[in-house]
Amino acid sequence: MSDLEDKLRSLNFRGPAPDIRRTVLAAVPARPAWREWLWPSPLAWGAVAGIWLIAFATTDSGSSRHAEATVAQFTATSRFQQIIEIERILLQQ
Amino acid sequence: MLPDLADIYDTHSNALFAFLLNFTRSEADAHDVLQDVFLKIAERPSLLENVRELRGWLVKTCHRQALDAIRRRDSRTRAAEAAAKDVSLFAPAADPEDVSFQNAVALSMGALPEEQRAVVHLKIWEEMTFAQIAEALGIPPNTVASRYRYALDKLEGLLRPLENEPHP
Repeated sequence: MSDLEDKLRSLNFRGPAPDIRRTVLAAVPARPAWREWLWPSPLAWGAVAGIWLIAFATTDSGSSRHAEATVAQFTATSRFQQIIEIERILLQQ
Repeated sequence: MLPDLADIYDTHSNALFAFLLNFTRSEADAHDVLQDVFLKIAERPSLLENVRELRGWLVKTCHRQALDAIRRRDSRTRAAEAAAKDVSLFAPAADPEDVSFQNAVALSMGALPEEQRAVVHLKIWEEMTFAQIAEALGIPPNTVASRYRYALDKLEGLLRPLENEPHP
């Protein structure tokens, strides 16, 4: 780095006019109210929503499994009764 | 997640305006281009979605728009402005010696061709590497390096008389 480069680098440029900032920021479209509410921590709120969805899905599939088990149990009981009935008829004969 | 536009503006606007002012040598053009670039971002924030290096992207976009602005200018106006070369680039200084150095640098920068001025500005005041400047200006790194050397030699030649002046 030469002496001239150092001297040039020490110079400070002027800044832009303040009204440019105002114009630019005025052009930013306003976010919907729900996004304003969500904005401070969208990741945290998203995670909470995800946990709820997973919990709901798990609970729902748990009920389905319970129903299947009940049907299977019912079928097994019917077969058992049929076998008992056949044995009873055979014993009578 | 995209950062807030106010944050982006506050972080980059001074440096971009300095580049635009030095490159276009016109305060009106520098303001127009700066405003246009940020208005585009305000209207379409998705422009920044795939941007990896924001300052480089902003410099590239400003340079492209500034070139368009310079080309749009009437050649008569350009000649008049080039002759005047009295654009105020730097923040006011208190020391008269600093003021005279600022004026000499402003005049000398005006004597450089646009493409050399852009390279010098990005190298000296933005502290970008030749590779980064090449990417921003869309030219090969070797061209950037040679333009920088030519420009610096010319600036040294133009500013030497000032250094040799007797100080009161």
